[in-house]
Amino acid sequence: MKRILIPLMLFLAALSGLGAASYYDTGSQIFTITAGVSTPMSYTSHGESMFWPGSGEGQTHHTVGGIGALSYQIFVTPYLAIGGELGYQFDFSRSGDVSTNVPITAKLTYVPVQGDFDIPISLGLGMDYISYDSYSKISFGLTFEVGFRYYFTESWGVGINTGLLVVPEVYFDRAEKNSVMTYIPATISVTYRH
Amino acid sequence: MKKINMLLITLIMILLSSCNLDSNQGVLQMAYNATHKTGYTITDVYGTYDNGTKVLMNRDHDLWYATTEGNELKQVKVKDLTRSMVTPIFINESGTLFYAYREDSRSEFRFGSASIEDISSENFSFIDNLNQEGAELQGITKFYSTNLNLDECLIVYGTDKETYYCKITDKRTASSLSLSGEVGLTNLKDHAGNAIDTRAATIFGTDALFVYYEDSDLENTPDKLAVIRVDGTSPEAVTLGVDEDNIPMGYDGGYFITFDGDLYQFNDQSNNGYDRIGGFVSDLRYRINHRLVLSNDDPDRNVGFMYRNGVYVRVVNDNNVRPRILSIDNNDNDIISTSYIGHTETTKGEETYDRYLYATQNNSFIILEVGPGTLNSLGSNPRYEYQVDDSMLQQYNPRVHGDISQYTASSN
Repeated sequence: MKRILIPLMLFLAALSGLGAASYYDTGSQIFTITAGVSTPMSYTSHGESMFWPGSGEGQTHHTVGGIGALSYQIFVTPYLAIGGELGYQFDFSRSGDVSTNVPITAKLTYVPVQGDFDIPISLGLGMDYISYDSYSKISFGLTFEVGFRYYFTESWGVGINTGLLVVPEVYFDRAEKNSVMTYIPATISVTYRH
Repeated sequence: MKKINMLLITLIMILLSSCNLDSNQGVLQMAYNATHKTGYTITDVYGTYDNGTKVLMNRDHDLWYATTEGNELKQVKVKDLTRSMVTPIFINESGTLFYAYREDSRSEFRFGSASIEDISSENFSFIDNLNQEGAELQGITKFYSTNLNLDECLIVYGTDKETYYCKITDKRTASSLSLSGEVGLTNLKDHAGNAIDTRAATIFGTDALFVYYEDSDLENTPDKLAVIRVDGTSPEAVTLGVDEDNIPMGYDGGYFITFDGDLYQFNDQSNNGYDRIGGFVSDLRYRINHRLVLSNDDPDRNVGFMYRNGVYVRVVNDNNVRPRILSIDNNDNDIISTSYIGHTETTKGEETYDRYLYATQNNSFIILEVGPGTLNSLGSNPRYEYQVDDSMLQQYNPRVHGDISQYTASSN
């Protein structure tokens, strides 16, 4: 683990260096709208894992779908912002029925590079409303996102993002129902900062 | 700002908690296990012919047969019934289809039989005199039939004043259609001694008839439920508040109905009362919608019932053994109704499995595999223990499960 963490921290420190002086102040705010595609990466149940979109053997039985989110964050330090995000993800099962996720997460974002260009790295933790056909469940949701944003005015910026949406469906009394689904989102975003 | 955030979070939590958002059903598993929909609906299987190689069925209200060609399941349209007044009843093994027919100019049913080829060319023939004893049945204005399995069907028929039903137990070898009117329903009384209107009669089980009516004169008055046995006994109706959406299912030893999400059992000792089966009612989120024929040739057989989320197996003739829900995690959640086609046996290692073939809505054909069956002695009540695993319900694939005729040839 140290082998990963140490280079990562060095990398982030280097990025911070690139950003030079901080752009944001404590209390700065960011509104972001993202939209794009979601690729099902894995489905794990009963100790077995399936990967990537598709209906075949060893695949997740989900199609590539769509994903979007609204987020609001406020900076608590010049480099660290906290806030919340409401997301929506959908794709289709083999039967053609739609499968959806509505993650509602508390979001922590570290912005090592900031100014005309931002590189936000975010971690979200919260709940996820999963639904498929007439079935639904409120479970946990975990998001990880890294982005690159260009501000073409002082306040407005556009960006591209990718990361991971992890959806563990947990039953404390029926372990046989437990599953984990992961998605890779690829989105574009519009950001307003103030 | 903090107050607004707290308010928003509280609002979201209230909204979420006020809705029934948790079905407790393994949502991701449901999505993963969903199978391809075929886009069509099979509602009935009339029988098999051509040495069991063809299964005649109602698909999207038209007449089709299914057969296996090599490793593929092929379905062929026989006749468009959408604008036809033909209602197939069953087909015998020689390929003669028995049907009810109502001409535009008549309000009454006529009955007939014809080969599949004649049906295709609309070369109908009629057999209005149906009774084996020679009495002519006329003025039949209502008619229902249900194919229980490949060799049995139940028929309800009658006039506006009288209703009869009979059971055909040898349809594979039947040479004529005999509606003998075993039991008249005209004398059926409800618990208050009033005559019951049998316009909305539904057949279920192998030996029972379910009848209900709605008391349209009095709102909030529960509907009546009556169960009549083929042996001629006509018990009083039971006031149950039966919902039309509920589907009764039964077998020789008892019958069930879902009501308000719970499962009720009528035992065969007392048709006047009902008992709510405990233990697994909370699992019965969806109504039972099909009676599975399992080990039908065994006097102590089990009977399975399929509901939207699984199968449970009931030990017949043993009311002391509580029915068990055998939830099938990889069950396709679009199984709405099924028609039994037949079953065969298969061997895995040293164990023998029963494979049951069903036609289903939306998913063409499925295999329900049950086994291994180990006979345990419980005093005078022997029973089978069925072990169920995730693979017991599968899409039928001739390459994996064999030719369709191997199911129809040995089934009953």
